[in-house]
Amino acid sequence: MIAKLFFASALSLGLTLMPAFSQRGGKGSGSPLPLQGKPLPEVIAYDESGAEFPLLQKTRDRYTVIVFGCLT
Amino acid sequence: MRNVPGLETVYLDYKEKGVDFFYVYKSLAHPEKSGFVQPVTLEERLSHIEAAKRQLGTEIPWLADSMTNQLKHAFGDRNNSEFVISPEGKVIIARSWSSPSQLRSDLVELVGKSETTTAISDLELKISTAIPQKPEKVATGVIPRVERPSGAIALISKSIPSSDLREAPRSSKETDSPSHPLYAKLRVEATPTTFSAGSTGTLYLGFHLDPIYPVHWNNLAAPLTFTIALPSGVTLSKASGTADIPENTPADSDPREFLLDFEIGEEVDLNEPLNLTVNYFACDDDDQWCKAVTQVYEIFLKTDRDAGRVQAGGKRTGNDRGKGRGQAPQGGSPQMPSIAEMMERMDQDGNGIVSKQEARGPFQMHFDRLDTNEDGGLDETELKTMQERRQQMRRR
Repeated sequence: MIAKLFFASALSLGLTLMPAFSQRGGKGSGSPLPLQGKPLPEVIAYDESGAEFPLLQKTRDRYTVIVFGCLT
Repeated sequence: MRNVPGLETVYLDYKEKGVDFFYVYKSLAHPEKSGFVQPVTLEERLSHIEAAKRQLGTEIPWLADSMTNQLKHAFGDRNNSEFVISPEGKVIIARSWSSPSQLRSDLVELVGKSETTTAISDLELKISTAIPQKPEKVATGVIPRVERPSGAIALISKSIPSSDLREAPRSSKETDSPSHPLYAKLRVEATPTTFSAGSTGTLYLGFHLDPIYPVHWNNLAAPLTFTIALPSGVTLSKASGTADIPENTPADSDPREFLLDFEIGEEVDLNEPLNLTVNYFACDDDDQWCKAVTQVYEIFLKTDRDAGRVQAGGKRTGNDRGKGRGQAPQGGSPQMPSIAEMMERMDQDGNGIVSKQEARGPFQMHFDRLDTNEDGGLDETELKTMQERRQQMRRR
């Protein structure tokens, strides 16, 4: 029964929903982040070997992309 | 991390143009997912990075946040945020949720179009299991999970060396490393979420074996026990406890969990910690050793903003009393599975994303349409959107 409901509901998710879905692309904008437009602070990370990685010093003179994440 | 394949394609195309990329491994957003628990040392966080590289097949290099979570705090405490830093050291793009497609557009503007445009289908991500499977002799699911009070928040708990551990050499890194690993890690949650004179509530204590260590509970020895020394003015329904031992199960890896009632008196110093000592017997999965382990913690009646939020699996209920262990969570429509239930049914690798291979029935049939951000997986938001739509249709 549940499977049938899923199927029927999923079928009804026609292209009419797509505009609403695509607006989720704005998820990335979110609320302002504290560092937006500001100088990178002096923070210390660690590289994969465990050595200190002073972020400001190590990212100087080139564009750098940083993405936060974890296993969960 | 849901956007890894997309990010890897941007990395492959833009590293040649001199752009550096880093993932920053932060504190866990959803501890207990796939069994992972918060690391307490830098070495453990680095082990998580190794596991993440295996699970995700990443080529972008990783950095570990400090154990004081410096980067997480400085960059705004988001789970999957994304930043572009200029050569002058300024944060010129800050996005609260990583978006590979938007990042690619950003980089086109900043450094020009890349010579290649790698697609996700071009990637050969070498994905494997993050953590080796436990041997068959180590049972799971033999001790029913405790239902945590709804709305509980994590409290700050710090492991401290017990008296015999104080003599051991300490790590030179910025960690609180005991002389042996914390095979079992304590998670403390409480409700209500504010603490003041006269307040009462429920305390959750969970001792979770850390999957990065090949260790299990030794049920042929004495069960896990804990005792709590209380600061003046705080009372607990019980200040000690003993875990159940599952019948006919010499070894298992299920968490040992407890619920305690607490009451805060009129005169109490909330800076004073509760001092918890836990004793248990652990064995390594290769049967090389079994030993008695003692761990000591300080528990503070303060919210831990870095502890993450436990999702389904660490069971919760809105009616936390009188249900006892092992009963299924209540609430919600009996005819309509919750998002968590749908995720649990389909998300076989526990990464929080339902891949096309994992999707079933209509989810698989209409996968491409439901995958609105085209990242190759259905996340909770996408499942929720579908469920809301179904609920609206039912009401009509």
